[in-house]
Amino acid sequence: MPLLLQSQKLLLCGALCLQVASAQQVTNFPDLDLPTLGQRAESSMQTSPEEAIPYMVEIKGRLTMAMSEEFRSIYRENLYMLGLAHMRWFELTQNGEHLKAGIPYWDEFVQEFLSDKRHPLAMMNRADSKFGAELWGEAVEDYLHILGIYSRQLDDELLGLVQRLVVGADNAGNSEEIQPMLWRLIDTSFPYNVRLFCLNALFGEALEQDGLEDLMRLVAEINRDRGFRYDLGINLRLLNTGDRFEEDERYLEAGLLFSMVLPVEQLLYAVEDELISIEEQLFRGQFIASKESALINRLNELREQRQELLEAPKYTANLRWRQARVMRLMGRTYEAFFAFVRLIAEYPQHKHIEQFRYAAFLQGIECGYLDEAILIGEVYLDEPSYVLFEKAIATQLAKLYEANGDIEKLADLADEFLIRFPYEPVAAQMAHSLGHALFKKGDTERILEDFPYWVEEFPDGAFLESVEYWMGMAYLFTGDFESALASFENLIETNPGSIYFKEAQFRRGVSFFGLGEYPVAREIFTKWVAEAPGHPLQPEAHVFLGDLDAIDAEVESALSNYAKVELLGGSQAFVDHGYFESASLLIANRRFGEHDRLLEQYLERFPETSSAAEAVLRLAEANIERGRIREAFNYYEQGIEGFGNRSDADQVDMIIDAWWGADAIVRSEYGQTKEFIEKLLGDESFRSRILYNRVEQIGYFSENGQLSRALQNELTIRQPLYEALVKRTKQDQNNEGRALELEDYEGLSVYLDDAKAKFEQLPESLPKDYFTGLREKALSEGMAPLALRLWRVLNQRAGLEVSPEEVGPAEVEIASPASLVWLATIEAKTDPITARGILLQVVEEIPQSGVVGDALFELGRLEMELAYFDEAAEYFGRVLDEYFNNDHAKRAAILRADSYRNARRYEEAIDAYSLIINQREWRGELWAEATFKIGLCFLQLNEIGKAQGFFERTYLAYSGYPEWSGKAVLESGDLLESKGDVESAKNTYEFFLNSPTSAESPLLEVVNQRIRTF
Amino acid sequence: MLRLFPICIVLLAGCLHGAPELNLRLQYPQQSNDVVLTGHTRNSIEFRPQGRDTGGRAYIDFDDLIDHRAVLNFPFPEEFYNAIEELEQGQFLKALPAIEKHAAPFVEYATLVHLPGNLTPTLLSYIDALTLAARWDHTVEVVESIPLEKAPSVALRTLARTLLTIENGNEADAVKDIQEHILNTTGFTDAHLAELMTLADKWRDRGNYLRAFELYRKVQAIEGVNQTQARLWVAYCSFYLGHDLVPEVFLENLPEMEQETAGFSLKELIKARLALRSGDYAAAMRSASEAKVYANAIDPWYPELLYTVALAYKEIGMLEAAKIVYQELTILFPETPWAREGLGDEESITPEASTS
Repeated sequence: MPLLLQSQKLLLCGALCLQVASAQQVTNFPDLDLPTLGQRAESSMQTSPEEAIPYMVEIKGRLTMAMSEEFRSIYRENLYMLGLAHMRWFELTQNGEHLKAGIPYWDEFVQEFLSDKRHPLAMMNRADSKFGAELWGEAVEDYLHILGIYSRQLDDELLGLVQRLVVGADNAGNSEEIQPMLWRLIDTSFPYNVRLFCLNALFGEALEQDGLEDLMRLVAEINRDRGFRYDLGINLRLLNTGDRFEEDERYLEAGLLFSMVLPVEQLLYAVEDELISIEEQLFRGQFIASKESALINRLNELREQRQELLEAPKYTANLRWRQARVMRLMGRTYEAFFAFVRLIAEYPQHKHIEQFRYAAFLQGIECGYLDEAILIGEVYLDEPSYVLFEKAIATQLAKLYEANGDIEKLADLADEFLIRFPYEPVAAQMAHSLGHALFKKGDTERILEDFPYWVEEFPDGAFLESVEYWMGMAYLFTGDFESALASFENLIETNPGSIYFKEAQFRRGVSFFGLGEYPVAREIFTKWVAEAPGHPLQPEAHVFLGDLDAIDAEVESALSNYAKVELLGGSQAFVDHGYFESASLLIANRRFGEHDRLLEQYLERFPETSSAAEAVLRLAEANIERGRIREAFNYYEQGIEGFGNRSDADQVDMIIDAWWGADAIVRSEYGQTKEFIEKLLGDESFRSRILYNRVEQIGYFSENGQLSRALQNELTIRQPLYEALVKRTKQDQNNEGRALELEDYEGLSVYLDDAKAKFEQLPESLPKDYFTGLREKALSEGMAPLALRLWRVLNQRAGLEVSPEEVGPAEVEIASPASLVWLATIEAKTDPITARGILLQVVEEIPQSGVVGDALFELGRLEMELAYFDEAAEYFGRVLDEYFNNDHAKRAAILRADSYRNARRYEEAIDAYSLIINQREWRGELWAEATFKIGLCFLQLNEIGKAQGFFERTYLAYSGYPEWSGKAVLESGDLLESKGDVESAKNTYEFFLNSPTSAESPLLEVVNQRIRTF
Repeated sequence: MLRLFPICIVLLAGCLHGAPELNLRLQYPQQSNDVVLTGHTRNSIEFRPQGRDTGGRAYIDFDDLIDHRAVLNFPFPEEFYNAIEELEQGQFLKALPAIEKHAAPFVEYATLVHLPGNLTPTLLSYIDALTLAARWDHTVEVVESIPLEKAPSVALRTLARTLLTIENGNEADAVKDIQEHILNTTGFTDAHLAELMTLADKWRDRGNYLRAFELYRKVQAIEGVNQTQARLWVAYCSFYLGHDLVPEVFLENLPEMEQETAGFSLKELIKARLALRSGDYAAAMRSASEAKVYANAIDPWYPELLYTVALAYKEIGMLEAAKIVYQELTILFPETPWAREGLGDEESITPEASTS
């Protein structure tokens, strides 16, 4: 307990007392006069205050009623000394009772002598006496009273007083009572040491009471005051308090406090900066003389502070770690990431460095800073001494590589961890990630090659299930359903507890589906769907069930299964499949109303998907099928307006093309129908040929492809219309003959009316005009992607010229996939390299687009023109392998073979041409061309016999295609002539000249010349 | 024979200047000489011995004074020191007459501000007194007499104080004159530029981005330790002055900055503000969080940084994190405009809307 006697300047009461002539009331020392009493009191005051006190009490007693100013003055001095004597007594004995005994004297002095200059001292002595006597409540009350009156005058005593106030209040249990005073004393007008003490006291109290509001108020106070901010003690206290909050999981508070703490280096910089500045000022003597000592004092203070800081604990690393940790715990992900990155950079040798790196790695992933996360993870794994988190990091890293499609890195990682930890879960995770990545990339060959090797090396490895599963998936992908089935069944049998168990069961069904064993597949899927509710593969299962229903013509069940795909949260691709397969079923069953409602629903629910335009397209086509041309065009319009300005909506280009196509079909259907019926009725000769000459009829219908099939059928034998017309038509009519009236042939009138009705529903403008107007509007409204789309169609369909100079990177930037392919064809005219870049962009960056096949085809053509025949063959090959239904597939097949031939790789060319001949649906001119070119290849291989055989086959079997038969005849003739078999050559030429189509051949004249040479 | 001065002097006849005579103690490390300062030339001081003026004058080159570590101390009576105390206690009107009486003659010697001694502090005290007494015209006059490039950097600190006081008094012309005097001065040292930066910071704190911008621009044009920091602040002020291109141009022309470099945090803050302005919230989030991690809570831009971090969290939908940062801002810096701004934003985040 601090003892503070406030004044040691004992007044010589004895000297004063000498002036007192007589005593008034003598009690205990009747034989002593006042001066003697005073002398005795004074002489024993310092060494034996207990002896001095009775004399003083006697003096007090004798002068109590004294009225003279002199006596009164002596009384006052004696009273003050009495108080001091009790304090001195306490000082010597440490007995609080003595202090207590002195309190009444202080009370009296304080009450009676208000104007005495020692009044504040007396008040403090009284308070201190109460404090020493452990009368805590009273002491606190007195201290508060003193502070209320004298806080500005106390100077040096203020700090001690406040310290005792705090201790007293603490002991009295009324710390709360002194809070307002402490807050008052924080004000900058009070000395810094007092303010600092009060701040700490308040801080302690706030923590004690869990007074968050007060604590935060203090924190704000600290923040406001530079002195506090740079005080080492406060910073350490903030750090420790932050720790406490963190332990209590009160992260907001912890984070706040940590964010306030200044690193010790920062404190040091501030001190050193000021030091330098003052030293400079002193050195240069640039100060007013009266300020010198203040500057020197400050300099010394700063030196002390610097020393203190140099000796202070180095807490910065600890602080930064806590800051990072708390930010992570608070969900301040981004700050946490950088905080951990900073820790790594600044404390690479810290004992927790592995934790820093791991935390930074995880935060990086959470922030989506994947490249940085990968780098951090890789650096961690590259350091052999880091082991704590290597498996966790490797697992995550594998997933990142997988997501990035970085197969090689993933494979290296998997290899390393599978070999190092073959029996640990990390091996299974690695195998899974690699399997998944390879599967996603379509590199199933590698799965089938590499994965079995691991099994051989570690037959009991933890990764066996992953290997089995992904091999099964690889087999599925390659169409080897039997092997797939075997893999999945093995997995199910040997690992009933496997995480792949449910998937494997499902894939088993897929395998049977692939094998065409639909009932088994159905049984598996049905059972699986019932047993695996909530499984992520449920939507896919319903897709398969829907497909199985569709195969079995179970329309309602199919529709129901497809509908569930969406309900169960299937991916957009499955949802689209469900909708569009349902739509196809409904169309096939002519349930147009439901069809339209279904697709309208799709458009309502998924207006932003890239397939929305396809829904519009299907709606339009369904309406065209029903003759609802206006509605169809309304859909087209809706599609173009709704999605036309979105570069990613692939189907819009198809809608635009469909508009053009539909318009042409309806127009020509009406034109052909009208012309046909008019001719049929008005020209008996024509009618006779149509009715009685089947070949001529087929030829006419073939040339006029838009004539209604039904009408064509009605003009076949035994049909009522046919019979009715035959009755009024001569078989060998050679002139116009008898004209018939339309009203007599209701059947014909229906077809004409129908075609006319469709025609009249067409938009008023021709497509060229409509799209030209639309493009101008799009340009004026800044809808650049739409304008570009329309430019394409106007160029391709309306002959609007576009030069390569008119297009450039700006157009490429906004182009839809179809527009990109078109732009590439324009660019290719002058800049094939740029064109190639654009096409590759389509192929590589938007592989899901419907125009990738077109892009590959154009790439092939481009490479061919540049004489890169191998590359060309490869691109054409991809068209055939991946986009067989593409419009360009037939041309791609022939150009692929041509590329091989141009590259002088004749065997491969022969194979490629043979592939065309084996494709039955390509029968026709393409076969003729392929056959002829096989002959050319054999010719180059010097296999003359075979070459001759293929040339002969060409002109014999495909004489209907004079371009190729003519060429074949010439080649064949050449061969025969070179053998000296002129007769056969001549026969060959004559055979050609006698064929009915030879007149159409551009080679007719050449053959004639050959004949003439004989 | 003991030399009167430890350096070579030349005695000439006749007083060349109309400057007032001032008692001067020429103090060397080993001796001191009391003389009377009578004037100065471009390179030297001119003085005579104390006592009766016989017309003789001595000259010492500035360089010699500095080389011999001479200090020019002008003795003052008690009255002056008392006035200085009064000035510091805020009794400037009482202090001014005495200060003016003794300090005004020093204005004639303002070009000697680079010499060690109490000439500069005297002039600066005079400026302080004039400023506090609101004698703006006279203040400007004294300020303009000081060749700032030669004065110790503390002179600029006084000028900064003066400027801000005059600004408080709404005396735009005087502010303009002093600011122009600063802007028109060339040949500043790094120490001067550091003081200019401080003054610019004060303008910025007051929201006077234009005046701050002018000073930062001046500093950034001079190669030195303050250049990068000044460029950053040019970009910052420019952003708040509504310029479109300037902030980005200045950011692009910064040297490569390590994260630990002073100013890195500010650079990222400016980038974050620009990114927010252009709606690129991911970039804003990245810059703001990195800036925050490399900032200190005592950095002047820290409250704004907290606000920016919170805003970025909000914009990317991390509402809970945004809320926490707003709370940190309003608790730690309750009196800043950013806290007021943040309070409004925080209230707009309803718990239901939170996604994180």
